Amino acid sequence: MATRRAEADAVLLGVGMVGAMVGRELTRAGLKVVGLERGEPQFTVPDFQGPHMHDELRYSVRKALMQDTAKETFTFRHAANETALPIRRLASFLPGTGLGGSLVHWNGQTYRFQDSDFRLRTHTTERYGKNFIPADVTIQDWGVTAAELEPYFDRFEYLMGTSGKAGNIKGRKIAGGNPFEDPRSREYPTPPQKEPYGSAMFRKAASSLGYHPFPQPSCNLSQPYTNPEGQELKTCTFCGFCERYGCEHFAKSTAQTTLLPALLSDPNFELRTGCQVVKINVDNTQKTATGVTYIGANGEEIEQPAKLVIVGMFALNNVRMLLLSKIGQPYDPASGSGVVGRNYAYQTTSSVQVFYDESVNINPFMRSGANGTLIADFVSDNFDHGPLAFIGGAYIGEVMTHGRPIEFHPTPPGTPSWGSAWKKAVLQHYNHTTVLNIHGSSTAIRQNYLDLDPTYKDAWGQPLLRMTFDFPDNDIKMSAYLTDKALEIGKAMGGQQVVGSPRKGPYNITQYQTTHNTGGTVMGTDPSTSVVNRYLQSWDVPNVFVIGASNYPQNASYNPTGTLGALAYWAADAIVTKYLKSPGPLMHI
Amino acid sequence: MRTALVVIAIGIGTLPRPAHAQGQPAQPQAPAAAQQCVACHGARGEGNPANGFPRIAGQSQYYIAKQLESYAAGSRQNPIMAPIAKGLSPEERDAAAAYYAAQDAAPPKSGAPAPQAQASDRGRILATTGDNNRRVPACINCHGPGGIGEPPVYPYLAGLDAAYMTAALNAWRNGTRRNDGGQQMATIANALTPDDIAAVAQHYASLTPPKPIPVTLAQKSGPATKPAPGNVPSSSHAADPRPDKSVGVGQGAATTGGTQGPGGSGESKTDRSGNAR
Repeated sequence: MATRRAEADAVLLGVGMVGAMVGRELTRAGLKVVGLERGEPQFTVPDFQGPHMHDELRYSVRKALMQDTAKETFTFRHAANETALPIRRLASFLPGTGLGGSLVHWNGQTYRFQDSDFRLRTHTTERYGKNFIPADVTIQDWGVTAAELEPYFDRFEYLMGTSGKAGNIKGRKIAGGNPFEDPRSREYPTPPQKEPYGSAMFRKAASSLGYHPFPQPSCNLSQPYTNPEGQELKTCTFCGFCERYGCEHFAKSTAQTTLLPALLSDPNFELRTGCQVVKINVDNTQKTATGVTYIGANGEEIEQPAKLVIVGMFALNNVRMLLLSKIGQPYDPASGSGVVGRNYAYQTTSSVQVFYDESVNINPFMRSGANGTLIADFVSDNFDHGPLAFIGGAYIGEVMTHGRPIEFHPTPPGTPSWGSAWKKAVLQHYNHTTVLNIHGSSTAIRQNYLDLDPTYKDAWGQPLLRMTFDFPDNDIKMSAYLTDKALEIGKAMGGQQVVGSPRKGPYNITQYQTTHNTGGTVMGTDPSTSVVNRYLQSWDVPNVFVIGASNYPQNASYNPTGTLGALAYWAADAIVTKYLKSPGPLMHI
Repeated sequence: MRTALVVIAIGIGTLPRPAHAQGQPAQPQAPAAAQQCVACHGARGEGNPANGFPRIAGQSQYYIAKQLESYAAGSRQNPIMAPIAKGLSPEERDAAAAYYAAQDAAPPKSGAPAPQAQASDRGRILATTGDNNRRVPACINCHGPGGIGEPPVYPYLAGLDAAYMTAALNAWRNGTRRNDGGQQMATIANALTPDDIAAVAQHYASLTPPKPIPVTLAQKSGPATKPAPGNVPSSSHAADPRPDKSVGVGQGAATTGGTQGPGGSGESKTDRSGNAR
């Protein structure tokens, strides 16, 4: 029999960035909030301090900050006619765990999706006709516009202190920024990070080809910054240990550095760590959640009643929690009906290596996770897709995140993969090679989806989430076209040798690509194609809000975090200014 | 003063041969530029803590030269060092720095009074762990385990005398030293209390300074980069008009209730725009 705790006004499932943001807004509105985090508490001091934080074997190879696959993992297959097997070692993507969630180990690359991304189906149909989108491509509109989200993007960037250069302030184009961005209300809170050497060569080459390079917006800060919550961040030191690591310098914007000190000192907030939520409880009408049940750190079963349930876990785990709790109709790929688990998408990435001779020192170790220079000329619909017959795009940039000794070993094609010839080549090329990223969108298709695995269970006896995914033909075409464009830029950068190949199927779950898993609890304005409405409120159980990249109907060219931050503030605003005044559905169909 | 310099300089001929930074045959004595330093910092850079002059032996050439440049430029203010540094050409600063970078002076005798146990614990904790509430990262992140430095950029702290360390931290704190691109030291020193500064200074004074870094490493590790093929344009954002330390105010989406202050109550000291309420 579960122990029953006193009812809270709201319970947070996960205290990562989303949990911290929404928790802060709700406590500020006077609600008593309980935050449930499955992992351990962790703070800049002492948990992220040197020298142990730069242990590449522990954090990059053994992935110490990530979800423990011995307790809880995912199963994977390429197609519905295969049998999925559990992922026993994380590789392709890396969900974090513990207080602060995955933002503890993020790179800090901070973008706004474009208006054409938010209105993808409408925009594509308007520009290219209604027959342009293939039948099995299930891309759709988000139900919000870039203009509606602008104040929330602004608020998130000023919370984080994002370092960048505006390209469009209220419709006025600004030289040096991203000329393709939608109008923003003001400049970034801090200037861009210093441009590395390889990035400067990229900028020169891209400019010479007529493109529009700009500095990558970064949440590794370029200078000290005090955010509106009174939290002070310090300057990034370019140590090159961002992704997969915590930042020892208080220089990376995370829940720890931007919000948690304010939230944890709030008497309206209670943090409980080591709490594994097993389900959201609903009453016998199936229309109202009554709270959650979780397993505490000592294995005890506890019921936490709450008036409002905020699901803010890693995208994949958001989907799983709704499926485990039987909230919303699960997606069925055979009939195309159902919504939970539908439109799972990823990110279509590839890279190009530019090998220089030994007179050019790249110093790849002297980087942050988010400094570099890129072009948005091929992002989203910033170029004519008519003759190309694919949807989506990519940014191309010299945005190397590190030159760490275990992971970064650039060698040209033809080099043996081990032995003395390999070692000689690594020594020869380590400091004279730069890498371009092609960071591409991911199209939702009918065949790619998430559901509960029929065989494999987690340490608490609950079914694992099953992923069924392979790269859509559309995205393979997109990657081929844009990797060629990146090769052209690489050649213009003057390297001795320029190599790269586009993303090809089948999807390889054992190779790191990106942690940008999206979809499965899609937002929208039609309950037959979305799990939550435009305010991220469950259509089926209106006192459940689901917030995460799981809301994305498909994934765009840019990294997803900036847009997620805007959506979290957007949803929190709707909860406080609309829902709390009149609890119930915020949208009626 | 000048007489004293000359007298001390005579003794330099008896010193061991310092390695030369360019890898050419070692010189028999300190270069002329370094002889000005000898009176206060000692023939081998051992310093004279009793009179307020710090140890400089074995700090990297890059670091020492950068400090001389800062003294000359005013980004590190010191009434004694400023005129001396201004009187040296860049080449002379490099030569003096190279000489002292190569010196292996004996560690200071433990003349300092034993620090109180409590202060010592606090100093050690700040040095090795930091302070989360004050947002102070551990010194060892940059200055190396045991405070041995991470040359060429980050100086060693081990064995520097407590009075010098205290003065240096206070200079960061009050802005008379501003030669740190990222303002790490300014923000850290400002977050420390006077007791913290004393404690961390005593901690490092109690440690043994490192040996000079090998000349081959010193040569290779400088931050200089070969020019790019062709003319690489300077960064487009080099002249950003924003101040070098910023405070963000809410102006986008309204906060969704209550007040802006930390903890959900009270006024935030940083948000007075009124726009965000």
